[in-house]
Amino acid sequence: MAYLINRNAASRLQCLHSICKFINIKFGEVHSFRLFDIKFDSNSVNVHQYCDYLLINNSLGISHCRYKAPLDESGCGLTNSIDIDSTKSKEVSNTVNSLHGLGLVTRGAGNLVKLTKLGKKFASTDFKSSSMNRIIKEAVLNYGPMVGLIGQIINFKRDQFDSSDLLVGYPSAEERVLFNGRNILLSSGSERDSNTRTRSCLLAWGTTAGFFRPIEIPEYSSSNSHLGSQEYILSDSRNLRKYQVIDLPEVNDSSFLVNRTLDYSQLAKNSKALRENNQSNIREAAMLFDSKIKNRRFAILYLISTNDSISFKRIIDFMLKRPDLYVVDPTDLERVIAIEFDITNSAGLLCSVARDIIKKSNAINLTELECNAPSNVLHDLKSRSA
Amino acid sequence: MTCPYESGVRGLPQCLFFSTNKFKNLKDFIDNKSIGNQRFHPIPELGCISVDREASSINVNANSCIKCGLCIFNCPGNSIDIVDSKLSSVCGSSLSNSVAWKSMLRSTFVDYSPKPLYSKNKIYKSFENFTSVKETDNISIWAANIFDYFCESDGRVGLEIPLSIKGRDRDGRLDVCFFKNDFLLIVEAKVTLKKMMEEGRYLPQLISYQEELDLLGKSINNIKLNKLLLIGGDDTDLLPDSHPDCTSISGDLSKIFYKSIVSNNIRFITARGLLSLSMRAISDMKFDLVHFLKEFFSDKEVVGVVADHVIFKDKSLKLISDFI
Repeated sequence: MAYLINRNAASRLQCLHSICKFINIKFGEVHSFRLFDIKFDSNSVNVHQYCDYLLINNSLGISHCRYKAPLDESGCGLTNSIDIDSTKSKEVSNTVNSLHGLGLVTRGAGNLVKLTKLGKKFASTDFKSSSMNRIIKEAVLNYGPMVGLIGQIINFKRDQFDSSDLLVGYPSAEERVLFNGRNILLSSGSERDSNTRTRSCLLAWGTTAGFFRPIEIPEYSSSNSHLGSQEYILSDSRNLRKYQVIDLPEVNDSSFLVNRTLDYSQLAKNSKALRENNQSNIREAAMLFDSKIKNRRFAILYLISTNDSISFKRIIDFMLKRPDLYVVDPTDLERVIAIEFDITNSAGLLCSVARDIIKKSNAINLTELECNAPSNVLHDLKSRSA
Repeated sequence: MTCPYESGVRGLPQCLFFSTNKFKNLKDFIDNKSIGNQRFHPIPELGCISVDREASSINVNANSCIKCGLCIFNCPGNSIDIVDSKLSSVCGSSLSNSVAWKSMLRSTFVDYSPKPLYSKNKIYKSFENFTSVKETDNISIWAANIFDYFCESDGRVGLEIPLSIKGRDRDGRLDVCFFKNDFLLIVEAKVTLKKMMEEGRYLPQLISYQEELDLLGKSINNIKLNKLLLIGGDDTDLLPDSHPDCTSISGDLSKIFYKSIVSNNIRFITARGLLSLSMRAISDMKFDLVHFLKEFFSDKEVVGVVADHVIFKDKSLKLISDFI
């Protein structure tokens, strides 16, 4: 049930560490909590008591979140407060999604969340200690989009890279459909600003973990990266684009398993929340074709994962036999699937492509991928792909 | 020194913060229909005045005073003053307000010379330096705080009020708005002339604001509206290029600026100009700042106010005192 993160506050593992310390004290590994329970509450024990990064305003004699104004009653950049939350809980939701992607919490029924063993270890370890570096590396390599990003950097086969060359988010196939008598462009890909935020988070996590670092910041070793990169990671804006590879993990190995890949429901953006003003047709068309888009992305990941190698042709033929499940426009399917293949990046499924043949290099957690998948789609894939 | 007045958010004395309501748009601001909770704005951290939480007292450090006037405008009992160019406080004393007022009237705070008001403050060496950086944290908050003082019971101040601008991909935000007695003042804050010209957005901003205001049509028919650019930094930058003290002749900055504001009917006031007028208003009960801003900036020949001078379209200057 991993989500695609796309808000900036959770990119700072220091902040996530503070909130985990708070969660650990308040709920431990035993008790579940809701999103609301970790929002900032000035009248109760809150994250400020566990945050080492507060700023002190000497004039006012108060400490405050460094990403909030001193008297801003929303309290914490990661969660906002129970009283003031202009993001309508999007921030706290993204924070918990991030903790989940990192394998620090699990989700149960009724949106209840619980700290994992790794989460407990992360919370109980001093951020400045050397063992924290290993914990961070383990955590970030749980997350599919992070592994996908590392896979791309490995494929560059260079010591340096430009962050703008990295693909993140949902592929944009730019399909046109006839809807309500109008020619509509299906909004199935991530928006540019959303991708920018996702990329920024992943780069911050990878930098903190010591996989790479912005060229312009002072050098440090991979094992000390969580401290060496701290000044840059905690700064208000992180806009450096040129990166130096330090030590990339071997994620393109058949024994490497991505635990927290995106689940079925997260294989497309939430079309109900499309922001295109005065473009109800676009939103309605996207909602109508939403399941087909998720189905075909799910099928791509499932078919690649369950076969040692598979051709694009076979994937396309597979889908063409059940157009009701997978196909928007059969005449355009070949082009669309070539673009939709990029969903493997966000899932963390690393592949090599030679001519028409796709070969997986690692594995993703299929149980996680199958979460929320419709039974008819799952049945179709299991029965016909065998 | 302890503060005898009621404390506010988080137990803070009122000299250290002010509050505004949040408004969805300009129409709601005019109609006084706020949304959500109040927003609290601390005065910028200057090191001049602070709270000692343990001792429940206020510390006043006269050496750090940049003479911005915030503490004077914020103290509900006028217990803070500038006497002989030094910050002075009677917080917690038994002096009555009237005594504090008398002290205020002796104030020599407003310096009408064009030189900056230098200070020993470790963060900002002068008031001009303070207003020349951090637009939203410094000059906007400072100006809103000043206008808040003159609101009294029947006025209001809004900060960053959203404005939807049709035909543009990005909505606008009105930096500071002031409304009192059917007078609406919209202030677009800029840190310095140079940065404003480099940024190049002031003209389209003000023109698009007017287009949007025009759409409000009849609902603001009875309201007197003035729009002002509030510009921080050195006042001498804002003098016309023909003036011997003008410091923005290089690159024809002053000439270009004046040409554009005259042809587009835009008016400006410098931060120091607003400070001078405000200090005058609290030391001279006969001078009504709100009335001045309402009527004076409606004069078609006036283009701006710099420190204690008015500047006209023909680039001539006159002392403000000649008009009061």
